[in-house]
Amino acid sequence: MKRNLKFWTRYTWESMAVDLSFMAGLAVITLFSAEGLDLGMFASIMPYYLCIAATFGMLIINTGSQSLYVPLLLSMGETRRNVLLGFHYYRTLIISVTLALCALIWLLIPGEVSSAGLRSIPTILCILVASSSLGSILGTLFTKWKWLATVIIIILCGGAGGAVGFMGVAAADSLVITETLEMAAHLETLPWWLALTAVAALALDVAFQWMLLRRQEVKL
Amino acid sequence: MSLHCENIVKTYSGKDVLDKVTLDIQPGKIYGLIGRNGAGKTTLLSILAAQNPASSGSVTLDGQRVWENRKSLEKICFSRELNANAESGLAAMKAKEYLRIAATYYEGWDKPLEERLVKLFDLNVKKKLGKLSKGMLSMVTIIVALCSKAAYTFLDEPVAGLDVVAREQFYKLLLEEYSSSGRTFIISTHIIEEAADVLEDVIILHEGRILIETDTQAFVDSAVHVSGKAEEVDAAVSGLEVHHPETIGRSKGVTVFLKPGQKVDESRDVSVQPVSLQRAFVALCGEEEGKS
Amino acid sequence: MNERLTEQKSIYLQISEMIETDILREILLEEEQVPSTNELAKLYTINPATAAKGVGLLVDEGILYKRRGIGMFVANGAREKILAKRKAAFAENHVAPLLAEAKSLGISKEELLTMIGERNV
Repeated sequence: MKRNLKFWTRYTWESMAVDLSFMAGLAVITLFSAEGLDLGMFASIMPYYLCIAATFGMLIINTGSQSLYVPLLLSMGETRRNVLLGFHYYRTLIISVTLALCALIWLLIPGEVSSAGLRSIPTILCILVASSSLGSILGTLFTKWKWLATVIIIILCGGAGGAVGFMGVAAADSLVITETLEMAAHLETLPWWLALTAVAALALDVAFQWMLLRRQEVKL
Repeated sequence: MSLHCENIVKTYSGKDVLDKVTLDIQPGKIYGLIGRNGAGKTTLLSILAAQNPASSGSVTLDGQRVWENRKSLEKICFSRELNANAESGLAAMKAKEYLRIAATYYEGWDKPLEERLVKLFDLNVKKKLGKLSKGMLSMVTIIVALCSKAAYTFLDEPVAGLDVVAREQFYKLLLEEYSSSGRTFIISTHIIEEAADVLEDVIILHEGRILIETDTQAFVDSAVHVSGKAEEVDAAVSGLEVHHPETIGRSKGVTVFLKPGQKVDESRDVSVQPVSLQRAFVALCGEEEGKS
Repeated sequence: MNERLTEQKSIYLQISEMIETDILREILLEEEQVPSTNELAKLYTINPATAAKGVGLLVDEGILYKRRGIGMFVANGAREKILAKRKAAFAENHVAPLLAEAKSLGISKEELLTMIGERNV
């Protein structure tokens, strides 16, 4: 188990690095577009960008990690049980670190945005759990039915591209901060259906993953 | 104390790939697993290493079940043949990364040996697996197998794509590792002739069944090629296990597998010649078309 | 020791013959250590068990002997033993096939003796 944790911890940092660079990309777009930017305001919306990056990151990276690393680790003599545990350890870790980073930034830069942000943490947690479960379900699908998952991933990538594009356009009108704040306002209260979705997606994901993993054949 | 599998059956879409395979792999031996394409070699190794589930049957190591048992799995390394084509996610992984993950997961990983082998094979570990040649991918699998230090190590076609010098190097390294550690190796290979002298025991898998599991030398010694005039040959080998008859005009040649105590009747005017492992294998598994 | 292996004969027999030949040619001297089975295995790329079998054959014949914890040594009088053995086998291994081939070619005994006489032995 120690070796397993070592692998997944390292994998978490590698994924985190991808998320951070995605966040940096969004930050740059904002920097170039917004006029008369308030630095404090700018910093306190960064956590939102990080969460967007983490959401898409988990949707896309999970697929790769499952179709590549799961069989690879099985081929190196890891048990199916440990692979499952390791994978969920990675998810827990990356979500916790993302949220911790957000909370830290909001605590360090007090203000209206930050206090709203802190109140939004439960909602963000649910979004992250739901999207990572969705990514993981996609990954499981991908291992078994490649074509189906490929179609979904293309649609998602299109969506992600569209979102970034929209933000770019919005940024051009220097509306990005306003947009973000508007969006953030919706996050302060956690709707019951979102909490339910997160829990259901997680349960579905674990069950589905284990069902296939139990009998998975290693093909590299 | 051994790696044992009992009545392994593996069915893929209604077809038995392995049909009641029972094997006992003794510690401290080098086994050769030979068989034609599609005989089920890779499937058998995958099941022995618990990488694929069997449809039925069990695999045990020293009496303990291997499936989902980390303690047993730690003693087994099946270094799979790498197919880093564009479709595989592995294509984008650097050789270095692959070795690093192996080093993380194998308890006894021998880092100095890894460094020595990378240098010896002149392997560019910074390259992505998808960019490596077939021979270089074989080198990566060889490095994982040897450095894993696992008590039971399986190699699937380890010399595929290697040139003759590298193949010789591999067999010498294998013997060096074997002599110093006493680990058990199972090597599946198509290039039988070169491997023959290295293999202590030979396992012949044919159409999902074990045909032969015995001392290589004893198996080779039990096979002879008998040739001469057809009637003389038939008389000389009557009552013996005859395979792979070939005739040209009046002349005939057959390969005979002798059971203990059996002999070819040499009073007949025939030539009796020893055969190599490869010839014996072809005689056993390469039945002519039309014969069932 | 650096002869090549052939496919015509069991490997372990070839190993024991090569050691014998080296003793005959005084490449290996009496009371001298012979290479270990692992060294032989690596040199010829053969399984150590096969090498051990070849060496074992010579131990059984009293040509080699084992010194506990050190290795295999050439026995005293090994060379004489090998000479005697090879001479005994000479008629069977070399003269018999020679005569058989001579017979099928229609070479008479006199012709054969002349041929041998013409060679400088």
